[in-house]
Amino acid sequence: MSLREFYDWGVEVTEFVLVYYFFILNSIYLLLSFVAFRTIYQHLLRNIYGGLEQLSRSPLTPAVSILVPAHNEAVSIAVTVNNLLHIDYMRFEVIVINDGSTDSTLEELKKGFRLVPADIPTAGPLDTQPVLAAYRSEVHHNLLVLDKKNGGKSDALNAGLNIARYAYFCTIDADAILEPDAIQRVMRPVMESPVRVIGVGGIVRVANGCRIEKGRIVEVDLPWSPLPVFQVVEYFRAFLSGRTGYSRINALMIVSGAFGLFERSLVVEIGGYRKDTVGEDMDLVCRLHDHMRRGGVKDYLIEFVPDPVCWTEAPSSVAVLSRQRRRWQKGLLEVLSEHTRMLFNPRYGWLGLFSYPFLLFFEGWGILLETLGYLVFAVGGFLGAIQTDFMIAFFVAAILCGTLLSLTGVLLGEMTPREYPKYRHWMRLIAFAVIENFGYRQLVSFLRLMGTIDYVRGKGEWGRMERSGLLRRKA
Amino acid sequence: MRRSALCWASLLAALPAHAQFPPDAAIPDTGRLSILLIIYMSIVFFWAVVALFVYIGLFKAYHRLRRKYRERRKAVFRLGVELTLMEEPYEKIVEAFRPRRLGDLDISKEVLVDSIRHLTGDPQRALLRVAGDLGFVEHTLRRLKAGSRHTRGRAMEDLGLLHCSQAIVAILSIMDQESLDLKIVALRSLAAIGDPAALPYFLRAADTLPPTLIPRLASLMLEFGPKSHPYVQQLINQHGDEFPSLLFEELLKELAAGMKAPA
Repeated sequence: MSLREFYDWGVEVTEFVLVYYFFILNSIYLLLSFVAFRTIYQHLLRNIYGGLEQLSRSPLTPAVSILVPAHNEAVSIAVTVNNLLHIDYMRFEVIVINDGSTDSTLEELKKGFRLVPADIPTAGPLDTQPVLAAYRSEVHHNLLVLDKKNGGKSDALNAGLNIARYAYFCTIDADAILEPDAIQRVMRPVMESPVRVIGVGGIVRVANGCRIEKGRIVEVDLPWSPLPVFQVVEYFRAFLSGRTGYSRINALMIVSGAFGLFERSLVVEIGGYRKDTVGEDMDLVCRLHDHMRRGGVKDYLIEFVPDPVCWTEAPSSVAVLSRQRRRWQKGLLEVLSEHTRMLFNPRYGWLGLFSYPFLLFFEGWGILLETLGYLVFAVGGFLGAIQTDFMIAFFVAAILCGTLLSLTGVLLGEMTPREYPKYRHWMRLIAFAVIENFGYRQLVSFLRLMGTIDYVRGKGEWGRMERSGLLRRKA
Repeated sequence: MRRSALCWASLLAALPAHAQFPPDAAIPDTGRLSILLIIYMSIVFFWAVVALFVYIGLFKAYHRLRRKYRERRKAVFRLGVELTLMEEPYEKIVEAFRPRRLGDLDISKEVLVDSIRHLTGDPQRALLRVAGDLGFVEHTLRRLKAGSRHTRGRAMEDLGLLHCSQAIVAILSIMDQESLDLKIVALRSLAAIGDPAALPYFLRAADTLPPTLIPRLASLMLEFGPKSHPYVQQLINQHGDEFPSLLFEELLKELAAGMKAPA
């Protein structure tokens, strides 16, 4: 075999692998979208006679501890906490954990909620950085603030878990806006599911562009800047198509760190949040699955509720987006490498047979193949080893498939409550579902590749996430 | 040359249809099937995108129109709620809620049921009477026999809000055949109707419900007020192990508070 023949053979094999990789990946995405469509449709019909009010006023509805880790969140913390204190739920406590902020986060809280030192035991079953002080609000009996040395988000959450009083806890980012009935919505599966529900996540929506008054979303709108609009489409696709599908077969591996509800005793039992990963939210869900399955328990659920529960500010600059996506990719790979025993392990059910392998081969390491694809097409096209018409056909198929998946996400977003109300929103979302294939997706792929490199080099941490302070500006 | 023509056909996608391909389109000269797969995928995706685009457009337009129409009609019937709150004569209130067009019955009932949800005392009683006089109750009772489980679920919810004691027998008769989620809706509806005669059926239901739903059942039983307490105690005796400790504590507090309260 001559060198030229070997090269052609190599290109042909790569082409074959890429085409089938593309085919399998998108078939799975489409299948998940189809499952999600049915599930969401049924869920929305059920919402009409959901009886949330009865659930929220019943004395037997479990109380919830809301944990808010805050590190340099002075811009939005007061509005966030005020918003949380006014949610529609019978019994809850809000625990803000000031994780060694160097700005005026604690002062904002002291000023806004008349905090006084509280004599409560802050030590608990989980090891954390030292807690410097605990405060209680004079005006809100259910608000507690912990001031501790910086130890990262996981450490802050563990400190909060140590003093949380209730059976369920919910974590929420300090810059997020919670829907007033969010806790009712995520507690409904816990209360009404025939099997034990140990964790619930909901859709996190992009707040950029929305009209916010007193920490509440009063008008849903799209931002003018294109980057957050791309993320609106992406969030719809990821949350509504992907997670709803996984949840349907109890194979959900991620509950967003921005908002998630869990059974406290179980989380404490498995040692709380892990501090040595940037994907602590996904890691927790995986360890919960692991704990249950190893204990021989199959009848449990980690659910995803397709109702909008939480709004967050999406990165509006490429630099911040880059940090976020690199961190997500690194976290994903870290967690996947920690739980390799799940791979094709029937003990884990659909999680081991479908969800984990899919995340590992496609979402995790698949980025290498994607990059290889770009390289092979570029080099092969340049050298004439790959025919131009094939490249064009592949390009068209990729764009059409990407558009199809994004449109499915947009449709599901339109079906769920708090949809974008105007025709212009709809036209923009559809336009962005097409345009994102020409640059944005490639950018995200590149950032994922960088995240993968960070993982291989063992580099990368949380990094700074600058906020424009949506809450503060609109408050 | 043939392959190139096929690719351009898929790219243009102006007339993409399987029928357009000649039977020997399997690229026999190279044997590489990947390109054919890509072409077929392009065609399928293209039509799927077009179909989805049209569907989203129709979906959005239909829901927008429907919502606008219903809002307009609801505004007409909301006058009935205002008249109720202003304590206007009953006949005037009934007239305000009376359906006038095809499809109005559902809208008028929705406005009425939604108001009942938020009102108490005389205004609520007046609206309940209106629901009976305008045949809303019968209409909703008929819906309990609907083929769609969601229609039945909604009917049960509405009957609960309408405090319709005639519905108890009908709900109990279908409850056993319903799925778990509708069973909960049925129990919630019975609790909202509030007739303590239904309480023994809650105890019976406890034997068929999964253990995780027992606390939910207890919370629904408490909706009946102090009259439910002996039944709740019985439930505790039979299924006490199913209550998480924190909830059990709350339940005992609730029962103790009921004992202290004046009869």
